[in-house]
Amino acid sequence: MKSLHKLGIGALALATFATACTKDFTETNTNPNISKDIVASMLLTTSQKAMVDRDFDWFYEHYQFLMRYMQYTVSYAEGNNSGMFSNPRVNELYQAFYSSIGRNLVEIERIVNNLPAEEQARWSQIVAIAKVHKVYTAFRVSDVNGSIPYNEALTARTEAIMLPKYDSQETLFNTFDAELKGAIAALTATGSFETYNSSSDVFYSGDVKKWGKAANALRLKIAMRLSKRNPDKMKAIVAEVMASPAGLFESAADEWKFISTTNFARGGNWNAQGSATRGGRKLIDFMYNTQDPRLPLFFKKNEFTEATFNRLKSGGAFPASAVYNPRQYVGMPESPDDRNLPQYARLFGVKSYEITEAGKKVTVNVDTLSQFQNRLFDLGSDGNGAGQYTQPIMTYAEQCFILAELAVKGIISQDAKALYEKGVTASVKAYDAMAGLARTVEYAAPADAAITAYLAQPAIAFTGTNDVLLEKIGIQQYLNSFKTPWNLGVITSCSAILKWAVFSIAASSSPEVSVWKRPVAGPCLSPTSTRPTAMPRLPT
Amino acid sequence: MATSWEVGADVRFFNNRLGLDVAWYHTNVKDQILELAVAKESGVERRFINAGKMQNKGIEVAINARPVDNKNFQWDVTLNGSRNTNKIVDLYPGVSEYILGNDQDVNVVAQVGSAYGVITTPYGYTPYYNASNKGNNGMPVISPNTSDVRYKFKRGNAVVGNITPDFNLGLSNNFSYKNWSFGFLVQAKIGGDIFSASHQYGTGRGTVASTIEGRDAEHGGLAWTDAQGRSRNDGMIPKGVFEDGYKVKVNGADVDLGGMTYQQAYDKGYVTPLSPYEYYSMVGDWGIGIREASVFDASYVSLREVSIGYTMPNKFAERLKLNKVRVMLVGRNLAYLYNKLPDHINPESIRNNATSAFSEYGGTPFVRNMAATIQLGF
Repeated sequence: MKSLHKLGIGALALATFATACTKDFTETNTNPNISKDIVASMLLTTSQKAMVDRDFDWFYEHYQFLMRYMQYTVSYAEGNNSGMFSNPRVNELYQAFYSSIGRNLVEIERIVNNLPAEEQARWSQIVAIAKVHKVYTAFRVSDVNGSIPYNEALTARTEAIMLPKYDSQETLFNTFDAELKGAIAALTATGSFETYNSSSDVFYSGDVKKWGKAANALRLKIAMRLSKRNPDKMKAIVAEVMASPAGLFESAADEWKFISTTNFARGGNWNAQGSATRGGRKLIDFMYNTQDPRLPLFFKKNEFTEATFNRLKSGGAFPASAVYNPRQYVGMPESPDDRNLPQYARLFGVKSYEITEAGKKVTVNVDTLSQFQNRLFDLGSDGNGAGQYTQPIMTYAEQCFILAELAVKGIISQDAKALYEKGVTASVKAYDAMAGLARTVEYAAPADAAITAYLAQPAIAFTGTNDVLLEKIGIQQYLNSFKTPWNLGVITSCSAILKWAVFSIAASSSPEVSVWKRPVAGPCLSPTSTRPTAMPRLPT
Repeated sequence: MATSWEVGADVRFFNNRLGLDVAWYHTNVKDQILELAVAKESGVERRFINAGKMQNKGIEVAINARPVDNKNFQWDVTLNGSRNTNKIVDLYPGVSEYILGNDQDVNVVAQVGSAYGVITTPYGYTPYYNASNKGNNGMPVISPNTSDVRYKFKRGNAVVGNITPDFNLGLSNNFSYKNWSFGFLVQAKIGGDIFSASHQYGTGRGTVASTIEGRDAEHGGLAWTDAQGRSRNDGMIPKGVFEDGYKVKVNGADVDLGGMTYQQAYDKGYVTPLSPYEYYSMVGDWGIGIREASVFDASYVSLREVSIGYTMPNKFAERLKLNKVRVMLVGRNLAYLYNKLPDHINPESIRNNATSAFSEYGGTPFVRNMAATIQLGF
């Protein structure tokens, strides 16, 4: 009896073992919570969101580092002003490319590649659009990192490559260009194709024509990096882009950007928390002196209204001879050392005035500096009212400036002046639209006449030698990159074409734009180097 | 998958009154399921693989004896002991360390060449080293901190222990005299380290009894004057060396304290003592504390069980129409006869029951069980 019992248990154990090992193995190891039959066109939205929902980047990289580096803003001396190079939380886009952005993009491709051959062609535009996203993101990651894993990256699931090799920038740029060219061919092919529906493509609502234009514009932008390294290749790509049936952006309506609902970019890391929100002095002086219509769209006035001035004056803060200066756009000197200069000392910090009012001592704090329009970046700022957030990715204005540059250099035969003026106008209109949607402080649409007047300013008008023209184009690229501060760091330091500008000081009423020549080589496009050796130096 | 061989002997003497059971084993475990980190650039962050080779060698001994066996009195004693040595032979090509668990930035890892369960932390002490410095090398480095807690120990990577015990021992005794029985079980674990978060943060917050030291003159506090000009008698001197290049201003001139112990700097009048808050924060604060300071050998000897029983006389049972009536009192987990941990921290209050469990962080108090039982035989 007893031994029979034991035998019974033994047999039972054996049976369990046998079934566990063979019959239900696949079923046991299949996660019921993961769909295995997802449709490729449903995977794009997550990647798109990850490309624009980047508050961590804004706080740690753009506010604290890039915008200061580009001298759009300056760290507020009395506030949270960590050193510009002290913050380690930069380059988060690198991580994101290989996870939240890139994975779905390659998954779209994998799913389509697994379809029967006759089905695949029908899904080719779905794959092509995913590719444009992938190239754009990798291009930005390579801007910062130089060589990155790309061709073998994100293949762990398909090819079991656990240690993807790095590609040099030469390989990367060839791959980017080939992939964009392939994508453009797919997007301009004739036939019947699957598309992203309007709600799953937050950029273009599934409009294949616009994706074709964006791919072409991106191809052009990437080719510009080869201007010095491989001018023949750059020219060849430009020629292909100009002849492409996909065409380029024809107006701001075509440009690649993200416009949020009212429930986005509010507080948290979207909020710069005062760390670097004061406008740079050179930039504000330049914009003020050239009467740039974008000035009130970029920056807020300081707190020195005439009423405040009069109150302080009557309270004894200023001598009786003091005269009100109606200019309320005041930037902060970029160099922290300038706080020691007597003419700037008063600009550092919120000014505190002890005045006497009705026989009582009162302390009044008045900020002497202009902050950027917080609501362009954080809808939770300045009252947390309704509004929509815009993130430009590849703009019509930028494309105009690229074409203007090519025209000045004789690579394309178009009217450079017309392109430049279209670009400036488009940039003003684009920032007007952004500020309007975001409901920035004291928002008012710039009049067309103001744009015309701006274009007639000596420092802005498209006149001068080719070098001056290229510099004026460069200045406009710089101004237009206010909401994409990652855009210019590499262009300005890598391109001998784009010389950089030091904005003239405020005292001058007729600003002369002086040329800044780069003192050292920056992380220029180099096919052999694996990593940039140093960040480009600051304009001084 | 495990392959194992074992040699054992079970020998008995004196008509079974003395028994010796010895087993010596050797087990190789291989192809465990390991979750390995993968370069993120590949598109995945982790993968599960079958890998690893671990060796267990050990001996188990049990001695059973009945030293006294009279009509009215018996004494049974069992002593058992085991010792297991363990070695991670191999993990996976290119992987020499595998993190099994983490608690408060203390890791327990499998390290090739070491026994299973090495405790490491990035928040250990950094030993001072300077080739020209004689005497103070090896002492913890002290660096400046904030005005709130003026100094901190410099944190560094350190291997701070291993969870595998040297021995496990058990001793059980049972006596019976006529109708009475009495027994006790003593169990011991010798060796094997744990990390005690209770000690770490209890030290940082000053809530464990061992932080009484230095709080007043009676407990060794030094007389000093703090930055606010208050005279105090709770000055403390941390054991450590100032990092190289650390300078303080003394009467307007820079004095280089690098390589000097805190005590030496204090003796020369360059620094004032620390308050107990500063002193204990340096050891156990969440932000700057040294986790290494709270890794201990968790050896203990536990009085696991004591029982006393009485069997009622047969006449009494018959009156109740029963075969047998027995009353027994049992107490479990009565006391630690020896506990190497400070501040009465319970060495068995481990956070979980994983093989790699290694940390203690409060937890429910250990319960001393008392039970009275009545056995009725029908």
